[in-house]
Amino acid sequence: MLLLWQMATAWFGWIKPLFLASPATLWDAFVTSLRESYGGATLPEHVLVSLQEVLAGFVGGVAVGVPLGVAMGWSPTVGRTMSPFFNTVRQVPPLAWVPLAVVWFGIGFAPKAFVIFIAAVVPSTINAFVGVRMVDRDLLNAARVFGAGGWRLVRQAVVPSAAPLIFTGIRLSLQISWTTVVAAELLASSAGLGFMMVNASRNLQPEFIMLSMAMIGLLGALMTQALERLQRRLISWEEPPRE
Amino acid sequence: MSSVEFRSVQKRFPVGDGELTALDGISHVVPGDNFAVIVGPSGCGKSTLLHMVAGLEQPSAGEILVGGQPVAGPAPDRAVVFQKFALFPWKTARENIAFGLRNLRVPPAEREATVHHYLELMGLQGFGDRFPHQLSGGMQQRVAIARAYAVRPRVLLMDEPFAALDAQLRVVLQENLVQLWTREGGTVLFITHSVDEAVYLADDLIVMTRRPGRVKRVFDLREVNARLGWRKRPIEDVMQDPDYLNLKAEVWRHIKEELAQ
Amino acid sequence: MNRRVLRALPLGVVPFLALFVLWDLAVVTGWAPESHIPRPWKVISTFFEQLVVPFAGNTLLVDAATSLGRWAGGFAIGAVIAIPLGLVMAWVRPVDYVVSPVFEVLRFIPPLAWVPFAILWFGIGAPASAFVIVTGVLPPILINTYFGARAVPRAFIDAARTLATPAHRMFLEVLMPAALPVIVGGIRLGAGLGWMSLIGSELIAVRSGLGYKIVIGMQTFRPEYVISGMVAIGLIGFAIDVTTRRLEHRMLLRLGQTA
Repeated sequence: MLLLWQMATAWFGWIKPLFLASPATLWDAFVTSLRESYGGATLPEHVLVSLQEVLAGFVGGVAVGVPLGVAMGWSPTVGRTMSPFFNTVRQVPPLAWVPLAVVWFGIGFAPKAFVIFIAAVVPSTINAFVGVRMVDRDLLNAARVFGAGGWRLVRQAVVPSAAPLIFTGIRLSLQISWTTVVAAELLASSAGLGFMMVNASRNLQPEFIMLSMAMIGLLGALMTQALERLQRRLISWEEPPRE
Repeated sequence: MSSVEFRSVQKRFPVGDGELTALDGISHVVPGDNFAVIVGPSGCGKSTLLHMVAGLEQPSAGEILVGGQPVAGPAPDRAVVFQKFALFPWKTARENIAFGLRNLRVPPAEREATVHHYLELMGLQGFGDRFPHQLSGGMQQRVAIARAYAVRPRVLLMDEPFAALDAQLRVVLQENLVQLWTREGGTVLFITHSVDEAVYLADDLIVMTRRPGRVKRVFDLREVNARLGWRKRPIEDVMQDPDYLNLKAEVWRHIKEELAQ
Repeated sequence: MNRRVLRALPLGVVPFLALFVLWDLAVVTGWAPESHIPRPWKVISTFFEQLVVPFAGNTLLVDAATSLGRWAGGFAIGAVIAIPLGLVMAWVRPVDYVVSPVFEVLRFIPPLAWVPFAILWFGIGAPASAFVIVTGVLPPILINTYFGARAVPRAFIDAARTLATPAHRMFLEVLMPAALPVIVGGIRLGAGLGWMSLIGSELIAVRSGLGYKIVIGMQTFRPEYVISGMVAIGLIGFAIDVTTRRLEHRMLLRLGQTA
């Protein structure tokens, strides 16, 4: 595949350099941007900016979303109260929040972290909700019979049972955080990987676009791996899913 | 209706590095219009055997002849009733039964009549326009049987058709099947792992060994059956008949031998 | 308020009411500057006003129509490519081997990340937006079609084979109905994702539509326009979701696969 790519771009000029960069150019871009400034900052600096935004929004979103989802799933009252509101607000795509966030927080770290937070809350909440709802009734009854009640029941029976789905929700929140950071930065940034992309498209440099995409993919994959490791450590009793 | 002949049929599957022999030389003739039941321990290859008669799988060696002709591929002359019904969920009962008839280019008027005939015969009048999920398990299987009979097969193949139903329903359907077969006739090849069922239904009862499957013993029950009029009596009577119980015990002994190894 | 009325209010209304009340208080007490957060009433009135009075070039209705039109176009293109492709990939092995790896890599790129490429290749305007929408719509439909087609239970195919089913009937009356529920699920997901991608693309790549409108609201520092635009976006997104769900349900009923 790599060979085909190189051929198509650099050697045979099938695809004009303006449209897609050759692997060689991409590599060059990578190496240079490590040291030199591109669009105002070096590659590591851009990475840091995006990473911080993602972490802030992601962690915040999960920290709010999971408890909310658990509460909504466990207590029918909370569920009935919060559901319509949640489902309505969630209809507004996270990106549509960007302009408002900019009005509120100006351009910089805050609006993007905020928008990522909005995006990340949703999958965590939904999955936590479903996870709690799907806990085996018999299991809960068994716990009750053996003396667990109220808070302890939630902590020691409900949450562990719902844990696999909760982790799925967290993983989805992570994915969505990376997706959103790209988009948010496209709009409202002066640094970061998304900003690199915009800059690159304005300056007609597809190699930098691809570079930022690659970095995002890489970082996303690394964080997902870390998450999966964590999941395996914490939920060692889970059977691999069937079918 | 046609006979089914097995000539040294073998079936081998590639497994890992080697091979698994599921069937090791089955030779037997099921005469036409005979209700043949194959019973054996799990994994003995009886389902595979049926699939080969149906043409859904090919023997590794040997041949299978239906009505004197070798089996080529799946076709309505060897209609199948599957264990899990395999009714098309998006078609009504009526449409399911008519499906094979449409493929055989049966003209609409005749089709209608046939479908109607079988709906009545299976006690499904009024349910023809229901979807499978709106029917109980027993009714679904009756639709499946109707679908198979409707195409006038030379051999009716039944692959543990009642295994997915609860015990009470099974007994009812066994009785129904006998009544149906007494009316409509034909050659039937029926697979089961229930000894009760096998002894009740069979003309020829073929007991298989465990894997690799071979024919262990064939019981010819035609004489007993006719003499005691099993097919004319309610099933609960038959199941208390001493001859039935003795036969059952003997068949069971054979199977137990196979299981114990 | 008397108790009867209180009890009759569904619980779900509470968070909305709370939001409104707190919001208004925040602005009135000066805790939040009015320039940044307009009072709720102002937002509501702006919303209705915008329906007929143009802002940033068009009325809200016109912009909504433009956005919907773009979405519909992108969705149609995406579906028309994805469904046949998914079917072919599911049933014709060689195609699967060729297309799958490429798809697996490309699909992780979020639709919005394609915007810079889209602008590079198509310039600012409708084609760029359409491209971005298609990248959002295509993956769920393709994936669902592929897996739906592959997952047709063997038993149906076997049963149909024993009943002498000719090829065209096998496709139309056995394979397609079996795969359809999953495919339609994919269409529903694709529709929703397509709308999100559309809005995203309108924030950058075009000069009309709802996304563009809220960007202008941001640039001219008129938050009441931004919020009412967001409400419009949310409403349409909701309508799309509800409609596709209903369609899915109807189709399942028609196919006898749900009660």
